[in-house]
Amino acid sequence: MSILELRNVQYSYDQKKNVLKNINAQMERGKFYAILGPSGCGKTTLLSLLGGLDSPSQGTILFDGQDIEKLGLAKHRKNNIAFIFQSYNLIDYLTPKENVALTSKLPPLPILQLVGLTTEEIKRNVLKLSGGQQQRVAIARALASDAKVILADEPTGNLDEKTAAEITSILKECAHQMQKCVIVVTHSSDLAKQADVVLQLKKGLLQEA
Amino acid sequence: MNCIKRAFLHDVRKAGKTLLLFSILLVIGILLLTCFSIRRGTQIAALNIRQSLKGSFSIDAKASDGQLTNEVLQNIRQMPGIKNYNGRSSSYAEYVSEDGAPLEVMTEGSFDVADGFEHAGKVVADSFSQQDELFTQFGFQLTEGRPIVDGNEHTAVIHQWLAARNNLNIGDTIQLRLNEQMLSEETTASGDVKNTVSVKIIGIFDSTRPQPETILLSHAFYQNTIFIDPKSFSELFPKNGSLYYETADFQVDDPETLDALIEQIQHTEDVAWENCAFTKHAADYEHAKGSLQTLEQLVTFLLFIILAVSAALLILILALWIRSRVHETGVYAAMGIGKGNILLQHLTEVCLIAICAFTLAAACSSGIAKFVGEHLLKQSAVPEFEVSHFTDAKQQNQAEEIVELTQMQIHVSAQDIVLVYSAGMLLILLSVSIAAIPVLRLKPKEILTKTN
Ligand SMILES: Nc1ncnc2c1ncn2[C@@H]1O[C@H](COP(=O)(O)OP(=O)(O)O)[C@@H](O)[C@H]1O
Ligand SMILES: [Mg+2]
Repeated sequence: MSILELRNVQYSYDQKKNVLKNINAQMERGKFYAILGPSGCGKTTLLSLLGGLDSPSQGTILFDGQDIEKLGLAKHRKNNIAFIFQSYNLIDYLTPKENVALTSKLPPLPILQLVGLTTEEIKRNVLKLSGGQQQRVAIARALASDAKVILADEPTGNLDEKTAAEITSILKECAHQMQKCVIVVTHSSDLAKQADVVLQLKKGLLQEA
Repeated sequence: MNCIKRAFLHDVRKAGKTLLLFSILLVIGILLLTCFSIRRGTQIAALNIRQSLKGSFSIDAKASDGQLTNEVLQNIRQMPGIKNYNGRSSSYAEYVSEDGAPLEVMTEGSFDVADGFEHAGKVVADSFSQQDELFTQFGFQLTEGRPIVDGNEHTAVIHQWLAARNNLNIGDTIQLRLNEQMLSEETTASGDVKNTVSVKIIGIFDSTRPQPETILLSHAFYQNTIFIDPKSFSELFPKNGSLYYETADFQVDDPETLDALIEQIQHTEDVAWENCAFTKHAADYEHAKGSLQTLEQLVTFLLFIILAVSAALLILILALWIRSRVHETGVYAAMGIGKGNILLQHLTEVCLIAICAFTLAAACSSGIAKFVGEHLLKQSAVPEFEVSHFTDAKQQNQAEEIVELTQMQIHVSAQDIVLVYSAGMLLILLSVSIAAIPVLRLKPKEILTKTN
């Protein structure tokens, strides 16, 4: 059974031109999805709809068979979704451990170690971590929230090839070993190769590649 | 992690910001504390001055035919806000010794000695002789014995000259009498006229200042004046058979209440008040009131300026800071942390700092009070008030006393500190809310697109 479902989703910023025209898709737990598309095609927009940061102009998004609009978007964000951003978006006055503890329903330490951070790094000022390390903290934060869906917007966009590959494999493990539904927006074909399902966003429509 | 912990960690890690805000709030706290303490000091001083200015009023009931009885006077005296009272009457009588021989009075320097007044003088009846204006304002001083106080019967206080001239001493008895000429003038006398009353001398006074240089008849001379109790007076000049007064003076606790008190009295029905004249004596108070109000208004105005400037400054700084944290707000929003929770975090951050700042301000309060007392008030043009005494037994000669506002007691009380905390917290609530409005009105998506 799908954890996320989009039904006839349309979205426009200005009521003239639809960024998203008619999106239909289903996503499952335990799978690693990659959404590909050129810059400006609406990938971030789509992700923000899935994550309940905004509402579609038309159509519905279901989580576990329930309309997220009826569930309440803030509640949806709090309980069902975890975001990972290109720019990591860690809170700069909190340590990695505290960042993870922000919304954590699980103990932060084992998760931080799981994503590959040392005990010293865990207590460091987040701004003194490398990009890869910061993204690991962000992933740990997403995992600790115990949300079933992880939405990642260009998570490897700021990282070098080697680190990007490491982050990609962590995300993949999240899907396969922790039964998360991981949806990654990217234009990196390296990342797409690792995905279980690759979706193409083109001219407002979403198609399996 | 709850918002209080987030706020605490924010304050600890962003030490620079925290220190700046702490300094600002400390200054605000000290200024507020200073203002509150001065304001309260002014109010207390105002009350003290009002009380020391001794507002009073008099009732002239000469035309009421004895309606201002002792009972009426006692009723008024028991009204809240009345501090002191004195019932007074005066007339003239002939003085005779115990065995019937007329007493010798001062006639030297008299313009004329009227028929029937060869042995007569002014008879003044007082509930409290020490409160008579002759004692309080015209330099009479008791030299021997005791004064007349309320409740005395058949007592007299006579002039030293009269006593010496007639060989009278304390304990001697004299008679006051209305002779034919006097009785014919006393047309209002009714019923069984008792034209003689015996009084015992209980005190002797001296007049320390010369009598004003107007044309005087001998019976008006200071030397020939005798103070007696109102009971004796009412027997000598009976009206309706009861103890009465021609006039009464009432000193009040607070001049502010004069009008209300007079109105209250006029609403009682024992007396036909339309035949009585009420006079207020509160000129000093009216004069001082203006200056006091000015000072209080100035401090209140200053308080509002400080509050307004503080609010503006806080709103500006907090708005800048909160705007620079749009990114963070977006991240929290994406995690499902509500706007209310984020606002609460901002509030808590400032409140935590404010509590420290205001506590330090409160700890410095004794220093503040000292500074205010020693520098601010001394240097400012503080009004001085001349206070003329209505009556004060101890300071008969000193008709005037200077009350200075510089004697104002300044100390910071727990009440002021509570006020500062409340005002400060209100200020912060207002500032944080206003500063956060532009950011919190954004949708989470907008915030994130702004930051990405
Ligand atoms: N807040 C916005 N207001 C108006 N138009 C927007 C806004 N955000 C994005 N867009 C437009 O919507 C389109 C899709 O944007 P986005 O979803 O960010 O694309 P992508 O993430 O694929 O690069 C772009 O053409 C962009 O200019
Ligand atoms: Mg994008």
